[in-house]
Amino acid sequence: MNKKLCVAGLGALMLTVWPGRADACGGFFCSQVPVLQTAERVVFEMEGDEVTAYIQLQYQGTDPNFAWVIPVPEVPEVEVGVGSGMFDALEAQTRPIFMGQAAPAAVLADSSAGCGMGGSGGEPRIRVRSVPVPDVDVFQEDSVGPYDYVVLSASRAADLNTWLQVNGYRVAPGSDAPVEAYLSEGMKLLALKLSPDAVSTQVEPIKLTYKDTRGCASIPIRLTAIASVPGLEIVTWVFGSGRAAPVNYGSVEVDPSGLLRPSDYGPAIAAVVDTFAGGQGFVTEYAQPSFRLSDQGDETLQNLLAKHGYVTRLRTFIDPAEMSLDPMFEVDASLGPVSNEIFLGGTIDVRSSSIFVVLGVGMLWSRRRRR
Amino acid sequence: MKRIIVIAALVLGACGAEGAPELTNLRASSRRAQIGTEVFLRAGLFDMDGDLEAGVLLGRVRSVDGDIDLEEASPILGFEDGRTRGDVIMGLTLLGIVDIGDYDVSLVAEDAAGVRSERLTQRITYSR
Repeated sequence: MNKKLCVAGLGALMLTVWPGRADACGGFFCSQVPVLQTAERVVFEMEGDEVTAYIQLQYQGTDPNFAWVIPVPEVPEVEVGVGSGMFDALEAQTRPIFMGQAAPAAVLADSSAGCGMGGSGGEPRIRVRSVPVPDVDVFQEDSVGPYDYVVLSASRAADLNTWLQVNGYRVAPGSDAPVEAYLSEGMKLLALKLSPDAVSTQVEPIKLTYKDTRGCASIPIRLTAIASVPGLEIVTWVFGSGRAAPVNYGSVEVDPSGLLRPSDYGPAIAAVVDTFAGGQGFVTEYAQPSFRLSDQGDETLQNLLAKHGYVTRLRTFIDPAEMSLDPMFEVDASLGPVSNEIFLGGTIDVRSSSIFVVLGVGMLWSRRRRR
Repeated sequence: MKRIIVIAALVLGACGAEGAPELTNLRASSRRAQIGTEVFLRAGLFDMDGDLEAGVLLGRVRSVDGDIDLEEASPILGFEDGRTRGDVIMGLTLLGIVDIGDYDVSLVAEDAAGVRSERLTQRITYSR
């Protein structure tokens, strides 16, 4: 049995389901600057070489002219509006619970932004340029729910990105290099945009089902780098036969004795990841048998919990410059459970100008490189 | 007979001169755009004469009330060696201080002899 599961995060939240490997990825772009995501949640489930990914993305801003680009190994079946209740149920049950303080933790980073404003001063004028017809392979082009989408590939990233732009998909500056990398690895790109006829600009969850003949579904994070805020929060759940741990990222731990308030916890994660894993590490926040979780009435989650025996939640904060490697995780049955209860109230040197002097006392468990 | 010839000439004049390039199926990348951002126009192009290599595309933006009427030319790409049929793409950016609202964005192809195609137009709503 293949016990390797590779996960690379792009958004704030991701969920990966064991067994097998899951790759998801992407970038989320609007008119001139990246849309700043407030959360992205992805559930991957693998059945043999078939991968099912449930992806929920949330963003702030009012610009409906976005494009959501997701590298996929094969042409996926695309559905919309499934599993939305599952994300909230999982988040609610696996996020850290802080003991010794009345106030709950603010688990998710909240960033606010909109898209850039266009326009320029001066006399009215137009600028025109002729564009060569891009050479791409379009495998599928369709609409589902409020989305138009296309699955395509090309030998050159510039052609692929030009095709997307010509067909109304926003492309962020600087995306040629990461797209080129994925194309060279044989990946295709799934691009989604809100249909011009869409009544709602709400970004609905999507479900992707596809074959992964590589024996490893991956979640590329490299494309995320061009559309990411600094310190992007990634939360990854891994469903499997046992506790999951990162393979090519460090596994680090926050010393709870240094936490005075729930709000200290997030920065402490970032600090130990930077200090002990060079910016590429995860904290395991929850690792328990699946039966401890409730489906909370969500049919999709009910099915997942019934199929998979263990749930692991890992979390990190990562800067764009550190998104050079797609994180991979594997199930290691020798690892013990992790509770999401965190006891606050250790000692802290309040004279220090930086809380991280104490909070940075983390542990680096392992860092096994796999590319 | 003269009447028929006159009518035929009028019809040809309305549809573009004989031997004129033919633009078809104009598609804009979006029906909504922001001032200062690029909109892409794509269309099919055919020219029996095969002299498009030295021709130009003319992109035009015209406000609905006609107050703004701007046109610029750009070379036709992909019609080398006498090729007669293919697609053309033009990126067009509206700049400057202009009112937001609806604009007619259009495309014309002109061959090496200066013969122009019909004008194909798409209405686009601009915002800031």
